[in-house]
Amino acid sequence: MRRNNRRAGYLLKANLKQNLKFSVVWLVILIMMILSGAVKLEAAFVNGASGSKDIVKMLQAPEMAAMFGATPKVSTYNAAIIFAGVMVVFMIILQALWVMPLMIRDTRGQEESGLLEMVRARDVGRTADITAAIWELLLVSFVMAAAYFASLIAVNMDGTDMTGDLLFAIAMLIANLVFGSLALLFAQLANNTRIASMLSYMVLAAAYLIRLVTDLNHQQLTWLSPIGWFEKVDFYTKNQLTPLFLGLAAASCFVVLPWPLRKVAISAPVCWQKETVAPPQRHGYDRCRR
Amino acid sequence: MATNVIELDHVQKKFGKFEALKNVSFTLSSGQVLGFLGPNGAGKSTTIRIILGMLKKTAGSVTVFGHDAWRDDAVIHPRIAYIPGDVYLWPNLSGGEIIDLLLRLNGRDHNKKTDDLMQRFKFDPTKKARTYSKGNRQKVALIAALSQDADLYIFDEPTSGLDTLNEQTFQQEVLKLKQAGKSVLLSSHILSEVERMCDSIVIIRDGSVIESGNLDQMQHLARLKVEVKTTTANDDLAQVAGVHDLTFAAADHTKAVFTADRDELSRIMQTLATASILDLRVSPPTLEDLFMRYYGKPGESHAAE
Ligand SMILES: Nc1ncnc2c1ncn2[C@@H]1O[C@H](COP(=O)(O)OP(=O)(O)O)[C@@H](O)[C@H]1O
Ligand SMILES: [Mg+2]
Repeated sequence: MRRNNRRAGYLLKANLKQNLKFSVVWLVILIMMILSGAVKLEAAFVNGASGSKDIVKMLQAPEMAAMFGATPKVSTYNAAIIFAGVMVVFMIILQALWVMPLMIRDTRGQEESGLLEMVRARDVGRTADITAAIWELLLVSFVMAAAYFASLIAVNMDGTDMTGDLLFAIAMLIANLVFGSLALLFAQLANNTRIASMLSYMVLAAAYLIRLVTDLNHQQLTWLSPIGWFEKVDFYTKNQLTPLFLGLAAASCFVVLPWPLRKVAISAPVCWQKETVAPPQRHGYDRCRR
Repeated sequence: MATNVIELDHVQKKFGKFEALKNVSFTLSSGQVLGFLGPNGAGKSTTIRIILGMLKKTAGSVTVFGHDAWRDDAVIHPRIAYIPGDVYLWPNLSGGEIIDLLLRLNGRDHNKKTDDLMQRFKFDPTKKARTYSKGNRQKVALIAALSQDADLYIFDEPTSGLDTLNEQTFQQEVLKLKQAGKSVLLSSHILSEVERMCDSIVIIRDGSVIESGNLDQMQHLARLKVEVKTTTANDDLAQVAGVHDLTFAAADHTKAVFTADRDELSRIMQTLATASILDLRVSPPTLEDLFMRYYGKPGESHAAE
């Protein structure tokens, strides 16, 4: 394992620099979302019961439940509970739209362009690009989660506590790991970035649709969707940990799979592309039997 | 230690059903500058990728420094400097940053030679790689590779994006490597380029090596192409030794096209001079000329099929 990851640290540094602008823009957008969501809800609940009741009523309507996720059923609502109800699904999707392309670019994208060929000809491990990508995912997700946590503490909505805020931040980090590592896996399965991205977005869309349908009728089945797992935490009320462990376990599986895949791919490639397409000359690696 | 730096023995490579390499055997001995010559699509890059342990061969054996190219890449790579044919970089990093990074990826550091090379290639390291032309991207790889003190240098069509001046700089650098006793594998589809720098050549076509050996022994491969216009008819030419493939363009035989052996040049020139030369054009043979002459068909690639 160590041999195959030689000098991944240097790649990580280069990739962080390469993706700095992209990631910073996304981080700013995401943090603004969290802040504005929290501030608005807090204002609605502070201004008196009438405004807050309207919000709760609105969110319990089926169309809203379909879009944002099922609002937890509790006797008294506060800003924090509603915040989690509205934001979890929405934020996970935004985050996935950030980390999935990031992971695909760092691996399949660099292989496709030929950059990895020049890198790999040096004293660099065979799978160092995957390792570097995983580290980048961990790092940027950690920064994001820390910023979420700080934002939530700062706004200090009605009904929040340290545990809930921390759990929310960690859950969003884990969501990044789930979708980021899934994209990483697809980047190894597919032999070009377009197909890897398509597969990733398809799974994201499927996860959203499954939770949409099940949130309306069969909430037990929401467990089938990775996005649904994070709804099941019930932030600021039950604070369930099981879904988070489930997310971690899934991410770990997705992370481990690319290694054997890359080894297998060289002799008996896994390939999702039509065989008739001639690869550009600069494709350094034959992932496909042709 | 083995004196052969690279040894390829009956290497085959299939991409699915397509045989990119059918039979590739050659050796690069220590201190040799070997030209790896072939038309586009012949399998040069594929061979080089196998040597670098990035593709797995289908059959045959490949050793570099006496080690298996695929299994022992960790031992081999630190001693190699490689420049791919098509250089792609991190668009948001500057050229200087990338050169330093490439050096570090082989456990080396930015050194005096790096600065020298940047000057010699007139390279601006401060700009972001996104703004570089193909030639500038190639310079990044060239500078990183040449400023690394390696035992084996592998260049895959290194001058395809360089202008004439930088091409000359590159050729001078290769000659320096040669003087320093380094081993060099240089792939190209341009015969004259290889001729200028290499001791020996290997010619590959359609995935098979069809010629290999010392350049001097292959002097016959490197006849010059001569076009000449004289005031009086040039009929004597046909009798001069070293003149081949003679054809006359004009009915009065004042315009001749032929190929010439180099060691007979002075005699050929004397003959031409008697007919008083009006115009003379001498060009080195291209690889295509060679294929036409020796194998009766152009060395086109599979891509056309
Ligand atoms: N990854 C690949 N998958 C399938 N075919 C390939 C791949 N790489 C190269 N080829 C084919 O192998 C042949 C040789 O290619 P290459 O080694 O790049 O030629 P050269 O470098 O001499 O121009 C070409 O016909 C090319 O299309
Ligand atoms: Mg090539």
